[in-house]
Amino acid sequence: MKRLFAKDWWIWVVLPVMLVALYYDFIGSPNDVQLGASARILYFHIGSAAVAGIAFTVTAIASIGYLIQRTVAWDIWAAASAEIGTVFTTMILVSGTIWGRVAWGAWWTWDPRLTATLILWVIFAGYLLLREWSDNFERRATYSAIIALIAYIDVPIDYMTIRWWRSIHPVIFTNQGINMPVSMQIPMFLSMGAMTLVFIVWMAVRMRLMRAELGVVDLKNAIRSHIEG
Amino acid sequence: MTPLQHEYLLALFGAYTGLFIIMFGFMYRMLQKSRKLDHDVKLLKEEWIEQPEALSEQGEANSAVMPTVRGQGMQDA
Repeated sequence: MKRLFAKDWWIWVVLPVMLVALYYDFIGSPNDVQLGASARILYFHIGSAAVAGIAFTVTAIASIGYLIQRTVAWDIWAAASAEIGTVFTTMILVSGTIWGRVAWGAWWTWDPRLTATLILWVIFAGYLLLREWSDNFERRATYSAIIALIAYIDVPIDYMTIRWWRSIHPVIFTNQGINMPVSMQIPMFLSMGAMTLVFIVWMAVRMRLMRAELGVVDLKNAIRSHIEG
Repeated sequence: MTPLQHEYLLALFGAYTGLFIIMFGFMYRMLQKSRKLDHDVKLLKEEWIEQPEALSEQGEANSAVMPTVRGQGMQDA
């Protein structure tokens, strides 16, 4: 236990914040008038959506950075953020389908919001597959950056679908304010904040591992070029 | 909220707490793995830097062996 907190104590700081948010989500928040207790899925769902949006924005910025400067650091930022963004998008889709079953009586409908989110998930899954398949670092980083930028076009579209087109998905954030009572806003924002902190910690940990893996690849290449003359 | 609903929600809270503890455990393991990789790379680099030097020293000690006969120099051959 002592060893657990010795060097990497900082990753555990976010855990209590997340647990407080979960407590508020499940126990501290009121039941919805129409959906009852199942409305609590919303807090997790919106929190995941906020983090996925942040993660893919980081990926897009880092991809532009890579295409301009061609440095490894930008590629690591983009890849780590895309990975985490894809995990959070999976969480959006899973929690969304469960919520859809309760609220709409169907696990899935080809609603513009749901379809746009699924497209986003598929493109970023392709992005991650491309990174796994290619061994050539420069080619992989360039193609990944281009795919990430193409995929990012879907992020604002995904956000606006429920405003542009007729959708059964509820609109929480409107021009008139937040379409939700304050007692539900508190756990929602708490969930968003805690998940954003989880994202920051996860990014730091994942980028650290990616840099270490890159060190192995660099050493391998140096030895290979030395042996081959 | 009924007492049964409250119990269900407590159970869900417990389940999600467990999931997040597992998730943070994985992150901790990722950090450990990074640290181990950094350490291994450092060791391998040190070993690799020493090795070419040892090879060159060995090369200098055993210089090229020319075919010669005892008592006869290179000029006689």
